[in-house]
Amino acid sequence: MISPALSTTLFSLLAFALFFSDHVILWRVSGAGVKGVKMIILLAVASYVAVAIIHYFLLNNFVVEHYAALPFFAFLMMAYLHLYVGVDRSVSIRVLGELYVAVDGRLSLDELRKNYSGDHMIRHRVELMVNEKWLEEANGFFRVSRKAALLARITIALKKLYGIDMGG
Amino acid sequence: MKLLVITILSAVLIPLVHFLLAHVYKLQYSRAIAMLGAFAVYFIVCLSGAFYFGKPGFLCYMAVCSTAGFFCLGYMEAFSMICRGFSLHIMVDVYESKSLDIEGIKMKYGAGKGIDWLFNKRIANMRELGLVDVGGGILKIRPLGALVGRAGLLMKNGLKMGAGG
Repeated sequence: MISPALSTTLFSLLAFALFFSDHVILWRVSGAGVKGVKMIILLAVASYVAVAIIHYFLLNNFVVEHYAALPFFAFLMMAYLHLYVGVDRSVSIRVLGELYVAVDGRLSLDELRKNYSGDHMIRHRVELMVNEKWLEEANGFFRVSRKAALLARITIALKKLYGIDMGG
Repeated sequence: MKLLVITILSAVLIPLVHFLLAHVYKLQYSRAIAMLGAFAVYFIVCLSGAFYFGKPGFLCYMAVCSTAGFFCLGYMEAFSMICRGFSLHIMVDVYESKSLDIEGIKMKYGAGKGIDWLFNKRIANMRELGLVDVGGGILKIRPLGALVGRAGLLMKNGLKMGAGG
């Protein structure tokens, strides 16, 4: 019989392992439309519930304290989301990737801009925001949606509050 | 359960202490240090709560520390987005201009500084962090940068995430 502390920790780790394996399989077999933070959150919830069901029916002699297992799993998921979003969206990681595959690990600024142009950076982001309904397009011009306007107002207010310059 | 509610409610301390440290104590030269200070205060409050009100034991501390860690990481991500979030800044630029096309977004980016400014700023940051060397218009990756670049590519290829960025 293992201690409740160990079984609770193992429960969270098992739920995370199930999430990660499903995530890898789904990301490798599906198209770009499926991949995103929303799907990661959905997979995380499904994985936790699945492991809880397995535990309830098959392993209920192991004590699992969900008041500790759920926060630990949520923490692991938040850490993973940091990593995922960072790798997916970071300009710096993209630049480092371009340099890593370049001959001798070096590129001129012009070569780098050819491989990863400002135009691409903007278009990629705008496309994502249109798909997520943050921006609305009409005749090649973009306007913010209602939810984006609210977020923009909050961002401006917070930047002023913290004294952050308006750059990015 | 009571302990988790206290930990969740105490999360409001993070922005408050961060703001106070950054402004009252003039830590504006490094908002990151002020943020770490806010996290430290939050953890101290949560662990004190666990010590006084909770069942002493591993699970109790695990629940409190995980919840506190969850909020700290969430705040870090939100604050990072406000400071450096590319998409969020495009959204703010479009909001302030009412309507913009792609060329307009490129020129307006970062309160009119433009997309080249962002690119140069990121390269300067990578240089400061010792990830790349820059000289004569050439970027050369350093060992730490190669490690990060390789790890990023491994994850992108493993998950078929595309080029990203």
